[in-house]
Amino acid sequence: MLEVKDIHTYYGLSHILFGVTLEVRKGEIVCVLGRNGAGKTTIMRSIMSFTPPSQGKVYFNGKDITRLPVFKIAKMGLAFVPDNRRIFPDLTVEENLDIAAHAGRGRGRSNWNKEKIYELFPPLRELDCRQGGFCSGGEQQMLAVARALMGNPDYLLLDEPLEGLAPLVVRELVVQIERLRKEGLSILITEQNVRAALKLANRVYVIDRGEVRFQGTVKELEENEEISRKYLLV
Amino acid sequence: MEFFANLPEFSTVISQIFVGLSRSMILFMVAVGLTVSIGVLRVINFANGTFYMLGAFTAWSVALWVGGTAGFWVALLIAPLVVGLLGLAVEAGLLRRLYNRPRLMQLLLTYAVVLLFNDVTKLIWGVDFKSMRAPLSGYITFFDGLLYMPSYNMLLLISGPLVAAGLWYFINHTMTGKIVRATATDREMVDALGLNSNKIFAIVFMLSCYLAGLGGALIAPTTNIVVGMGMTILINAVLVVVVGGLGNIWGAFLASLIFGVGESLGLLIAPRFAIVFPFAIATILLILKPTGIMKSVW
Ligand SMILES: Nc1ncnc2c1ncn2[C@@H]1O[C@H](COP(=O)(O)OP(=O)(O)O)[C@@H](O)[C@H]1O
Ligand SMILES: [Mg+2]
Repeated sequence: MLEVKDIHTYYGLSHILFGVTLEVRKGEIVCVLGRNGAGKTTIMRSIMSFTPPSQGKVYFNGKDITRLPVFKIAKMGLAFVPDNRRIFPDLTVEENLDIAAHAGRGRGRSNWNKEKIYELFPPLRELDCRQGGFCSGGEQQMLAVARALMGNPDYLLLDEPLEGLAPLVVRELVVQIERLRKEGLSILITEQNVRAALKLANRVYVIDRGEVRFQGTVKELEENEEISRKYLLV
Repeated sequence: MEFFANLPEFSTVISQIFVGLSRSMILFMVAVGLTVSIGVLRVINFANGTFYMLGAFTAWSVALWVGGTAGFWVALLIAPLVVGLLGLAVEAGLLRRLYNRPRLMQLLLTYAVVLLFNDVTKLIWGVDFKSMRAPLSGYITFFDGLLYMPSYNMLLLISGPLVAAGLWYFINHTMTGKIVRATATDREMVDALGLNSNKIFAIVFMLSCYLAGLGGALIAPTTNIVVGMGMTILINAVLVVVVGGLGNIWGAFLASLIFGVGESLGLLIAPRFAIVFPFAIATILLILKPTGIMKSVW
């Protein structure tokens, strides 16, 4: 279980998160919704310790991981897919996967390998030798998720994975993410694209200006028009 | 026809080009370390010339200690390792604390390391220059005397491509090399995969010091080993790195060749202006291609 407890996070002097609390239980897909600039990415950066919270705690499977070095957190089984994908541009698609596999060897219960990845994302098979920097947006998103999976994580943090993708690609990716949950992964997704995200999520948090404004099931959110009107673009 | 009478013979020109090429291999070893630490760590390591100097002094001591012809070969093996480990200590003990600081801080730190090691060198080895004998003596001749040069320069000539090929293999075909390339573009994501980028930084810095030390050990038998030699080569190496394209290994190789040959031809034609040649070459190349002859990572 991933637990974020009352965290306050700053970029330099600007206070971004104001006591955010949330949790992702095993096997769940949890969605954090919020407008641009609400603090979604900052939550992920706080969990991964890129920008550690200056107050509050992050627990992973009961262990305090607040302010642990990033690579140690990743080693424990948390994988992060950033909103801008951040594929290694000078490495080929295959090399991008290779170093992730090297990092994840002997880790976790799932046993991802290239064959399994190509089955999940068939287009990647054809791209093997292409440099990451020359892949299209959709290809890079697949590769970013694939790279994260190669590390055999138990938890996946997907930052706006559907942003900027063609509708057809969005539909495919939603299916794949659903499949990952069935494989036993727990997933935290942030989104602005409410409809696609709600198809996936078990539970939802709505955040605005660094605070949690709503938490509940998808059905509860759909019934609460005020929250949607105030904090989301619908 | 005075003017033509003064021109060197054709065979002298050819031989001088090859001697220049062989010296450019040494320049390459210092420049490539500089360029790799710029490319991956984003640190301009002023101390790289100092590690080169330490390579030469260490080689001198080891060769003396072992003695005989074998002394040099043992020194060639050990001196770069010693320098590499010293580099590792500098990285882990000092430089690592400054990666998140402004670049000027890192520059000042590496400059402090230069001053520190220069003084330590004077304490250990004294202020007089040292010299040692080459393991190979005599000259070798090719093509009916068209090309002749000291046998030892042949060794230098071979060492450069060997180092370049080794680096190429390391960077492109080993797992660590792939991670190094990834770290060069996005350190945070390397960490996010669960790889410790601190370790990669340390390896790269150590490697660049090792190569500088290797260059120093290789040049030792052909030169006076003095404290000032570090700064002299550093200046040329910085020019090579800028001209070759920041962070580009092949750019450093090519630029080293251009500098080496250009300088030795300059020596032949106008020895009095020899000191100006590297700068003249750099100026011309930078006017032609301000971003460097090959792709810069910055
Ligand atoms: N590196 C940064 N330095 C300073 N402020 C930042 C930085 N990154 C984001 N912010 C600010 O933090 C707030 C939250 O940003 P972010 O977490 O990226 O929002 P979201 O992901 O929900 O769009 C925004 O107001 C943004 O301007
Ligand atoms: Mg964001």
